[in-house]
This record gives sequence, C-alpha cells and structure tokens, in this order.
Amino acid sequence: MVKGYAGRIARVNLSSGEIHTEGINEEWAKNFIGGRGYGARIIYEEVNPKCDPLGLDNKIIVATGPTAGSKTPASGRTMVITKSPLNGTLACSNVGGFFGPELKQAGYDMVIVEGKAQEPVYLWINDGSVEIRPASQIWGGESSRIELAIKKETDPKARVMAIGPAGALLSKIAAVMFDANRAAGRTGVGAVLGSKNLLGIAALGTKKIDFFDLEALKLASVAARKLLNKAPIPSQSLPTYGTSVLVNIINEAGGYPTNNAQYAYFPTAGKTGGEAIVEKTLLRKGACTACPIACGRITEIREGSYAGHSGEGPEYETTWAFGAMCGVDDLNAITYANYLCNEYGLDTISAGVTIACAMELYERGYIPDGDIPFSMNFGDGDAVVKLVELMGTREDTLGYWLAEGSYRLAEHYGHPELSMSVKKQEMPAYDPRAFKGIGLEYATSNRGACHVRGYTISPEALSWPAAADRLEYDGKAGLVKTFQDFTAVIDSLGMCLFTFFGMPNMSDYSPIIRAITGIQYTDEELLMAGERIFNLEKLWNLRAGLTDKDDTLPTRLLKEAIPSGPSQGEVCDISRMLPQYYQLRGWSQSGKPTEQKLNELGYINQILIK
Amino acid sequence: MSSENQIKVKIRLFATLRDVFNTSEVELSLDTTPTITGLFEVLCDSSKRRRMLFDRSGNIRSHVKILKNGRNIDFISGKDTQLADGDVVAVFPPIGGG
Repeated sequence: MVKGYAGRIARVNLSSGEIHTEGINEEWAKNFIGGRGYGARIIYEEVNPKCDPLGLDNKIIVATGPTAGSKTPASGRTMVITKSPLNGTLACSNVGGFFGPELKQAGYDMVIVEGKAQEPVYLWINDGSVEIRPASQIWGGESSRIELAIKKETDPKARVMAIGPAGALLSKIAAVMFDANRAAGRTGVGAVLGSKNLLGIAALGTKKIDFFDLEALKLASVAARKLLNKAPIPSQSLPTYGTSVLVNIINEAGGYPTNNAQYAYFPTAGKTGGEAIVEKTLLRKGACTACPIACGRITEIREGSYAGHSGEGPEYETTWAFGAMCGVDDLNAITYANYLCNEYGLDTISAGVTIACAMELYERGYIPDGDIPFSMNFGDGDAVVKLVELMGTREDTLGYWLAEGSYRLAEHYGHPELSMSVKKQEMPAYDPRAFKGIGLEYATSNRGACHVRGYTISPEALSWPAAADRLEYDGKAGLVKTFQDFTAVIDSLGMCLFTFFGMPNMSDYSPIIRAITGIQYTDEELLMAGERIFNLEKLWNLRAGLTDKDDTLPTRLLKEAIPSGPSQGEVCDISRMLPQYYQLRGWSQSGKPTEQKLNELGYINQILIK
Repeated sequence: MSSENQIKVKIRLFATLRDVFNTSEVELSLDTTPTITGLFEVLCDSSKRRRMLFDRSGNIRSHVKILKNGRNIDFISGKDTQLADGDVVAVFPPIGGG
C-alpha cells in the first residue's frame, strides 16, 4: 500500500444520508498524486461533464495532497474540486489556512460529497468518525459567526470550512471560506455547496500519519526550509510587505488594469500597495500550517468611515480588484470591502472585476434607471463597499446580477464585451497587453482566467528564476506550458505555490514526495504527472462543450491598445502564441490532445473510453 | 557652473529600499548621458546605501530589479542603459506576490 496518505476517502451522500469510507486507489495516487490531480481523476470518473453544476449530479471534493500533515514547509494547502457553476469547467479552487492537515489527521485524505440534503447540514469529521449534523439555525450567516457556532457545537480546536450568505444564495462567484478568513475563492465553488444544502465541514484529528521514510522526510524538509530562507522573495519581501508589494512593480511596468482595464497605469496606486498597508493598517503578519513565509496580513482600519474594523487581508489581487480596477485609491474602503467578502464568502477577484464592469456599464448609461440604487462611478470607494453588500445579499435586480459575475451581468445589460473575463471567469491583476505570457495563461488555463496556474509573472515581472521580456511573444508558449505543468504538480502535492520563489526546480520537490510515499518518482515523472493532470482537465472540458474558441481574451485586451503609461500602445495578440502553445502541448490545431500525446503521457489513454 | 547640459531623472524606490534611502522618490540632476550605474553611483551616498545596491565587486546586485520607464533594463542595455532627461527609474528589491 502506498504510504504517506491517510489512506481513506470519506464519501457522503447527502440525499440518502449514507456515509462510506473507501481506500486510496494506488494507480491514481501514482499517476495523479493527490489534491488537484486526484480530485480531477475522480471528477473524470464520476461526474457527467454536461451535468448542471448546481444540480444533483455534480459532486464536490475537498482534497489534501500527500504532503499534508508532514511538516514540509508551506504544505497546508487544500483543493476544492467540482464542476464550476461559473463556467462549467472542471474547476478547482486552492486555499491555505489550517483545514487540510487537520482533515488528514482526522483520518481522511479527501471528502467526496454527492446529492443534496433536504435541510441545511454540515459534516463533522472527528478522528475517523463522520457525522452529518443539522445546520438550519446558522445557514446563511456570516463566515465568522458560522465558524464560532460550529466550533461551539463540535470542538474549539476544530478547523472549519464553510460558505457564507453568498454561497447559500447560489452566487456564481461564491467562495468557500476556510478558518473564516482564507478563501477557496475562484470558479464559484461556494455555490455548489449551497446547491447541496451543505454549509461546510469541520475537522479535528490526532491520528499519526505513516510516512514512508521519516528520516529522509526530515532531511528533505530541512533542505526545503533552507532554500526558502535563502531566497529573498519568500524570506524578505513577502513576510515584510505581503503580496500587495506587487502593486507598485506591476503598476510601474504599466500593466496594472485600471477602470475595468480601460487603462493600465494607476497614478495613485502607491496609496494602496504593500508599503502603504504596513504603514497604515497592518497589525501583524499571518501564516498557514507549517509555513515559514508568513505572507498573510492581519489588519485593522484606523481612520475614516470604516474605522474600527479588523480582519485578514487584503491580498494583492483584492487590493487591485477593489482598487485600481475600480479606480479607487482609498485603502480603507478596499480593506473593508475585503473584510465584507470574507464574511459573505465571495471571491474578491471576481467581486471586484464584476463591480468594475458594473461601473463601466453605469458610466456608459447601459443600466436602466430603475436598476440603479446609487451612483457608482470609477473612483468611488464607498460605492465599491455598497456594491459588495448588494452582491453578498443578492438584493434587488442589480444585486442579483452582480452575484452572477461580470459576464452574465454585462450580458444581461446587453454588453458582454465589457466583462473582463475568459470562459466567464474574471481576469486577475495583470494586464495581458503588458505581460504577453500571462495573456496566454489566462486564455488557456483550464478553469478560465487565472494567474496562479501558470504564473509567468514570475519571470516577466519578478525576474524569477530568470528574467523574461514581458513584451515579447516568442518563447511564451513554452514558458506557459512549463509553468502550467509544474504548477499542477505543486497543486497536487498540497504545497503552496509561493514555495516556487525559493524552489524553482522539480528536484527541489521530488525528495519530499519520495520520502512521504515511497513512490520513487524521478523529476521527469513528476513533471509528466503534472502534464497528465493538465491534459485530463482539458479532456473533460472538451467533453463539457468548451472549444478552442474559448481560448481567447476579451476584445479590449486583444485589440484596444493601452492608451497611456509605460506600456502605452501595447495589445495582446493571442494568435502569436496560441498555435505554438497547442503544438508544444502535442494538441491538434483546434486545441485537442492528440492520441499520440495521450499515449506518451501513459495511463490517461486507458480512460478515454468513457 | 552652467546646468544646461544636465538632465533630470526621477528615481522611485520601493519596499525595503525606502527605509534605507529614507524616501520613496527622488529627482537627481546629472551630467548628460549617464548610465544606470552612473545614476546609482550618485544615488548611493553612504556605504549602507551602496551595500544595498552594489556587491563587493562594484557591480549592481543581480537581484535588484530596475525598470526604466517601465521596461526591465535587462532588455535594454542592462547596467549600461543610458538615461535621458525626464526618465523614470523604478528600483525594487526582490519581491513577489500572487
């Protein structure tokens, strides 16, 4: 039996109330590792790609990777995998915090949830036992109150993941909140829990995990820690300034999408960057399980109309989404909007970009007067806060459509081209016109516009591990493929992507997984597993009805040149990268994995029959 | 002395550099056609500031990120990149985000 896993999966059918335990499939563990990869394999096996994401046939998987509970640095990540209600893709959403290792110590690598409960419930997983408990009293409450209530009913030391009001109201951009303040944000995973009447899961465990070679694991962990302590990004800038340190570097390059990406340079961005947060709102830094980096920000608002509130965040993406993307430079309003998203359980990227879309629709006169509750011009931080409240409560016509995400909002008002999204998922905080590689990543990521799954910003803006010219098209196809495959491995191991800033080689990770599981992966085999996982997600998406027409960008980013700032004049011409990308991936000209590629990847071709 | 041959260059400093240089932005007047190296030689007016940006061999530290008008100087002429009147040079220590 493969070591290092808890060795068990909990399968809960909320329709019948049945709870089963199954073992880990060793073939799947070997070929898809865990976390994102193993979860994708389950979805491929069990979920009809054409099913209604909010219907009975969808399933939701909460998955750890094999590094959970191993004290490997930054190994606390958890993945939520399902068919996305936002865009129908085989989507997954990654989160930090403390839940994953606790779930594994409670005896389970993963939880699969099927069906739908008649009344709201939550799951309580406690050292091997799994219970379904009533949750009607706390359903639809705010994240912090839900966490307190569940801990009171279970154990104060329990770790909790739960949806807030947004998930209960089936917002397509609803998050699942972990420890109340960390978000499995993207792709609307919160709505899937909402559709199943599943409030969340609490976990507590003390079980020891049987690692293959404890001594080798200790050595590998020490080596990883040394690499992270030596590298400047994870050891200095991230702990000191948090992720929002990126505000100024992206803005100075002229690639900081502003006013719904009508611009890409925001002159007052510096009022909201990592440096400003340290000066104005930071209480202390925060860290996830076993993480030496501690990029988290515990903050409080000290002045202005939102003074007196405190919480976690904002992170860079949030700082941008409620900031420059909405033309806002008021750090206090941005921070408060972030706290609200944590309480409502909303993805801050999608929320901010949807609000920016609403602002442009409003300014252009595309929203009828009857649907406008208050003015919402770019630059109005108070309007951002009020719009988050409307979105989180789904009140009024506008609140309803805001909660559907920017694409459906803009389509409803007759102008879908004003949604800055790919495959209906809102774009993150880097302008593809100024960073060509990230444009290709947005266009080709399996879950819609996403930066983390192929973070070419690392070479294009941060010169890590080496500098890449952000304005060049050449070479970006290969860069994006490498980053995507590499990321799929880290996501499946259960480690944080920020380890990459100190561990840029597969050989930095392979000793860890060999010591945990005993599977003697070579570096090449691990990278191939990442490629296999990426191809599996792609195959499922094709079966769900997506095509190469979906591998594109909003027209604004393809055709409207950046009007001002350091990247003035730039567009993102996807056609200069996409054909090479398909070719390097071994896919057809229309973006389909070929039989030859699937044979080369091994294993995956055996499951194509389905 | 006539200043008609001098050019003005803005330097923006970020993250930990702000503490060491005690400012987030400074404008320097320089002789014509200075390079990035020349600019930094003028900027670093103490040994602490020199250590922040220069290594022991007198080269600009490789992990310091430098943009000239938004462009990474690695893709212009590196530390020999020439400067013109009105240029904005942004200097970052190694930083990362998400």
